[in-house]
Amino acid sequence: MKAATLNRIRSKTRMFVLIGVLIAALIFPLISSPRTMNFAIIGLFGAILTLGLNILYGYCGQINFGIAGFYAIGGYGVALLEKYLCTPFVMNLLIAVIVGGILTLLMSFFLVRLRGHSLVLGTIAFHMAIYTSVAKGFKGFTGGEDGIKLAPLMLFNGIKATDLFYYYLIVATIAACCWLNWTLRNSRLGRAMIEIAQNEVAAISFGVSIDRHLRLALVLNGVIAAVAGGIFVKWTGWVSPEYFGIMPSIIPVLSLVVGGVGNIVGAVVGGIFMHMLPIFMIRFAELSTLLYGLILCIFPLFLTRGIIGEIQYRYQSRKATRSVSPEEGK
Amino acid sequence: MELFIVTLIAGICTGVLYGLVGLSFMAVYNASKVINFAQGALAMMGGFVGYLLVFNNKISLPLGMVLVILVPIICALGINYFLAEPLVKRNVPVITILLATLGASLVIEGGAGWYTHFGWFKTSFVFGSTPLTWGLVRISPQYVVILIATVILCFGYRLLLNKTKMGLGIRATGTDAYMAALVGIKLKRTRMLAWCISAGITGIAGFMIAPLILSSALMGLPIVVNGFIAAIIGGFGKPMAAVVGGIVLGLLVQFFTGYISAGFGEILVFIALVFVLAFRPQGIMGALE
Repeated sequence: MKAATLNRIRSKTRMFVLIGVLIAALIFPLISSPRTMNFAIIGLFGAILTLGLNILYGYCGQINFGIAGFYAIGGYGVALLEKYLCTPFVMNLLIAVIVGGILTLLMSFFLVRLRGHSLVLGTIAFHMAIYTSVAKGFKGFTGGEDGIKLAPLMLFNGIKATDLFYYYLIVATIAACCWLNWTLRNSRLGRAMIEIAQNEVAAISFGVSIDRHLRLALVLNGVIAAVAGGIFVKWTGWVSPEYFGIMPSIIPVLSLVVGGVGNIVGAVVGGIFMHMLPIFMIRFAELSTLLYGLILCIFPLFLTRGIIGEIQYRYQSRKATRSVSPEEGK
Repeated sequence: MELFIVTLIAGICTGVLYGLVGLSFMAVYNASKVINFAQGALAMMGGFVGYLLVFNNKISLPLGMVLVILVPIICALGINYFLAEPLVKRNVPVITILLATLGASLVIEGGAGWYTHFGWFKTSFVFGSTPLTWGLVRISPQYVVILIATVILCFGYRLLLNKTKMGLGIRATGTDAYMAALVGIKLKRTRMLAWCISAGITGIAGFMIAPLILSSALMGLPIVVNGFIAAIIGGFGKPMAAVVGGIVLGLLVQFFTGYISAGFGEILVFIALVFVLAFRPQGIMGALE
């Protein structure tokens, strides 16, 4: 089979799968109970965080263990603006995301200079600084451990936003994030980022500005996390430091490792399943940390591509051998 | 004046403990160039085993101390054998090894947490709780033991590293594993030894730190972060520098929380890290040794 035909078939199947997934996502609320809906929303929030991380870890190869910090900036931004200025949600979200972006940009001037373990530590320290300042430092302002209560979101016609509304909002956000990931990967910027992950010296010699690309990736990561945080606190109607502990930083990294690093489908699937894991094993909730740890040990050893990555790899290599071998035989 | 002295002593003693954790990082790093993020979980294991056995099941203190050192060592050997060695052999990126050790840390913490239902476990001052007094200076026996143990461990480790053949082997393995193997150093055994030393130090540090902080199965991560920051502030790769960095960090945090405001301690740690990494990446002691 010629390469062009193969590509056309591949893009056609991809198109069908994409449309199928979209339809499934749109009709899912019709067949699910409110409880399942609730769980699905939690999983989908995880998918947003994981997609944000994918830009930084999947493409640039730099890790971020401080996602919960950016997540908290979005959440607290929305909550504080609502409490003190009583502005509408959309404006709050916009301002919180912009503030999150600016803060990430300021941080990134320092963080892009770090690599490997120093970067892990720098981002963890950043998260801890944010966490303690909202939990203890500015206790009078943020409500400390008690948190802040948010009013339910009102739609234009004056009715309360239901889970259904949030579900579609989040699915739209995920679609936007996927699109961003996809276009980035097929653009000059994304190719430069992947080049940085593979070989920094080679990237420099091709004239790629490493600092600028890493900064962009970090800011995108921070902005996506802030969007997720803002919507999340409005959905729960409550903001408190316990949502932004260390686990929300670790689980997206874990999800990406499980789904496949640098793999968009992997990020979505991994994000959804890893965030819903404590719900699946609700009876053994205390064992979930142990299970997360085991997963994080096993994947780097035996499944380095991640689940989705491995499936794609097997599928593609099988197809390649099938299409190539007859011609080679001649 | 009294507040000053109390703060000074508390700062030095907590700092020294973070320094010990930093030192144990160095021990693994010196031999195998692996950053073991499970170090905090091993420290937790030391405290966990110590207080669980010594107080709940009434095992005598010496036997308890032996277990405090032994159990983290067993855990560390497991991590080394099942995770670090295979991953190093495959030449994977640093971050992957780091993630795997983080996974090991979650496994240990999850196991201990499952046992204690993620609650606080009871600790007490094993070495007595009546403070020793000299004039204005009042110091808890716990702190005295911490200081003595740190001095012994630091200088012991330094001697081992610099004056014995074993230490030479450890350093050689870290510098160039291939050459070390060529001159007849058993790489696997040397790395195992380094992991044992590191885990032993961490276990002791964890046992002594547990009564000073709220100790639960999840106490490992703050310890690991502070220990690591101590190592970076002091100068990464140099064992004694970790302790110096720890003392600087401890003093900074204690004086800040004592005199200015509690609750901003972590922010200060972060700012200190930013400053050191931005203006002196080799650390305070970096150029001296």
